[in-house]
Amino acid sequence: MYVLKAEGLCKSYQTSEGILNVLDHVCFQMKQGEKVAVVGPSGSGKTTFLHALCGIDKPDSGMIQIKDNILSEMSDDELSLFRRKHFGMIFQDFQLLESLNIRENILLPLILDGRDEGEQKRCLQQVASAVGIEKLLDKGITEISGGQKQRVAIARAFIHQPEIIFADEPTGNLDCKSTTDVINCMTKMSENFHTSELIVTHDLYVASFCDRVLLLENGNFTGEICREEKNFAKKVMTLMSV
Amino acid sequence: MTFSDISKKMIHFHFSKYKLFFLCNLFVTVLFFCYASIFTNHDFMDNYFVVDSMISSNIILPSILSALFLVLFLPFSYAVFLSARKREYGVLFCLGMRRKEAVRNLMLDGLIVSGFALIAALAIGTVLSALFYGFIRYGLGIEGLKWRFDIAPYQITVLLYGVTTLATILLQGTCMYFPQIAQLLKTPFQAEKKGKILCYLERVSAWFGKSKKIEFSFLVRHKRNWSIRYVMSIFMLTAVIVLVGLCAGINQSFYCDAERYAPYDVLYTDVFDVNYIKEQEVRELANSNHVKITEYSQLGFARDQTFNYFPVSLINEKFGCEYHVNQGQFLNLFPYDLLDGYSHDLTPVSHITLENDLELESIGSDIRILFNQNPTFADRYLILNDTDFKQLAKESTYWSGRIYLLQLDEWKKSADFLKDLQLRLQENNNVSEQDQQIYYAVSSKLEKFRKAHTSSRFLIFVMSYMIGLFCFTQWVLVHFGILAETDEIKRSIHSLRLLGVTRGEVFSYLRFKNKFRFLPQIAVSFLTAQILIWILLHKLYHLEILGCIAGAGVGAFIFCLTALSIKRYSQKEFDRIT
Ligand SMILES: Nc1ncnc2c1ncn2[C@@H]1O[C@H](COP(=O)(O)OP(=O)(O)OP(=O)(O)O)[C@@H](O)[C@H]1O
Ligand SMILES: [Mg+2]
Repeated sequence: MYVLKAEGLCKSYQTSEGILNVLDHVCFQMKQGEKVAVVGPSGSGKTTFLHALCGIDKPDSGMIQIKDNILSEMSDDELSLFRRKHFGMIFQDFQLLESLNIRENILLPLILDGRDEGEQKRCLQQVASAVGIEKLLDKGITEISGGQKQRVAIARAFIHQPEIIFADEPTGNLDCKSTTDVINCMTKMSENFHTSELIVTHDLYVASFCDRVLLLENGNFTGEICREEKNFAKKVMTLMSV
Repeated sequence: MTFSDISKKMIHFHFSKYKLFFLCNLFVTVLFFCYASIFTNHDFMDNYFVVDSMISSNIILPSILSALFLVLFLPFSYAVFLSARKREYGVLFCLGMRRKEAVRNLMLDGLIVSGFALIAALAIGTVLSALFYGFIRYGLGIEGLKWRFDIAPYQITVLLYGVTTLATILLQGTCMYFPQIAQLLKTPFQAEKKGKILCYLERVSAWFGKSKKIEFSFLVRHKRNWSIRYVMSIFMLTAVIVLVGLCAGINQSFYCDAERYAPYDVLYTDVFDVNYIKEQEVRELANSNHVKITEYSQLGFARDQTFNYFPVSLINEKFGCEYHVNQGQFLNLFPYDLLDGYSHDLTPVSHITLENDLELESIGSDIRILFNQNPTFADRYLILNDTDFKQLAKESTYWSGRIYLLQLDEWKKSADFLKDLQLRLQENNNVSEQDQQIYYAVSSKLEKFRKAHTSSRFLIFVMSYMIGLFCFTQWVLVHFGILAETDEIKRSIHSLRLLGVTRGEVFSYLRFKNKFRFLPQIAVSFLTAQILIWILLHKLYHLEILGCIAGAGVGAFIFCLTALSIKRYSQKEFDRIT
């Protein structure tokens, strides 16, 4: 049973040099509880792909199915509610709100879902300690470092225990130690709640923790390695050095 | 924590944007209300005794402009207000907020702020218009124009503002419905392509030896918003300069008219010997008031409800005309000057039947001012053949009278003489002062000039009031535009500073940017206004050169003043940013 399925996904941009086909008939599936890494050179369309899958950008053509729902057949409201309950998102540029402090930023998904204070407190406690930002909670967004912002973004994505995590470079700004913490946290989540994770990354270490690694290049997936294969880590390394 | 807590925090964070939106709405509405309180005031618009019709008709144009401005500016300020919050809502959408919730929030926000702005605008507008009438009454000493509470300007303002605001909020509020979320997330960072004009300017400045790449990069931001701003500010500045030109022209025309419509220094009439005074007595009065009568003549006339009748030979003899009117004919005479700027009814009467059943046919018409106007005269002047006139004068239904025409050695010193003459006549007639004024007043060149002077001061005040409002609003428009992009400029300046740009250089960038923000529209308006002034004044009064010079003077003044204050303005901006 696939939680996420995409077929014939196309997306192109009109640029001054002509039409740029960023996604060219891309097909993709992800099983429940699976962790998939998408790697690829800069500008290859990873972010575009991720945004199309979670419904915040519209592909030119193609079909996307999430659980039993076809994305293009869902109304905007249904999709919003779906995202609210089942998705956790980490953006490459974090997309935290400067108007709110860190606590409020992290709590947003619960607040939007109308959960009560007690639950908010409990969940916040849990994720904040998992990513190690308990001491920062009352600070403003402009007062923390890039790595700290990244952890806030991760905490926001996990706080409502979503079924699918879409993460765009979740460890791009973290040091080795923090990266390990975050990976451990994500692994724990996926084990505890059977969360599926789609992770765009440049980090070999992150990729090697996933069940499957896909290489996106020239508008399509050109390579795929599964954990079950022999010499998984080595093959991932070769794939990522392309 | 609930969503309403979050909303409150967001409002708090964006307070400056709310304030900006509020102030923009406030300004345009106050501007419009001020005009509305003038053009709905019947004393002002329809009372030709107090307000020269030239002034009241010149209120119409700026009123329309200010209404148009309101209708254009409100959607624009709301768009700016919204664009500041698009990314935030983009993030909330990603996290699962429904679009209709967002749209509802935004509309509610907009309506509440707009509502407060309206209330404040009406309050400030009331005070301003009370001051306006107060100054007319006590500053200029013009009686008969009072401020009193009238519901009409409030109704008009609320209606126009309400309709515009509702339409704007309904139309633009839905802007959160349609774009892709990814689009909203990118909002503040979206690059805009340079327009043709900017590219051209860049090339020109490179040609002068200095490349201004960074400076121009500050100007490219929010091109669409700024081009609307430029257009509106050109619109207002043009209105200002045109108003100044018109004002100069009209002002001059008041004095020209006084000269044209008062060929004689003193004129009074008697009808059936009422208002009669002996020549000897008049001369004595003049002597005792130190003026000399250099010419004293009289002219018989007759009148009924609608017409004044004059015998042709007397008119020809006295005023050097060469009219030929045979028996059974008459000539329409219009005592106007077509260049006085007023509209006149010039349709001639073709046929009249006199009391004694005499039928007269028109032989045409002439436009010519022979002597001053006076309340004893009927509206229309007819010149008859002498025989017909004599017959008519015999009929008791016509009032027959005489016009006394006097020239003095120095009309400017004739105030006391005129007062005494008026008083003496009133005593002779045994009527009240008011009746004397209404039926038998003495017309004079002095009085005509005095009236011109009052009208002129009045016009200058009313126009300055409007010009002030317009200048201020256009400055506010640009200033708030600059304020609105403070955050972004701050970020760019910060990056530039990190790259090693010095404080002095940053300051020069800001100055360059502000020059382009304030000055081009003044230059464009300057030229546009000159053309408009020329066309308007040439058509109305042939006073285009004076108008153009006045307009040019004010345009140059605004330009220089702005150019000089840009340094200080940029210094302030610099302090705010760094
Ligand atoms: N709005 C847009 N208009 C035109 N081109 C775009 C737009 N957005 C993205 N692109 C182009 O599409 C391509 C893919 O962009 P995308 O952000 O998906 O890359 P990416 O794989 O995430 O890169 P990175 O690893 O650097 O984040 C890029 O070449 C980019 O230039
Ligand atoms: Mg990317």
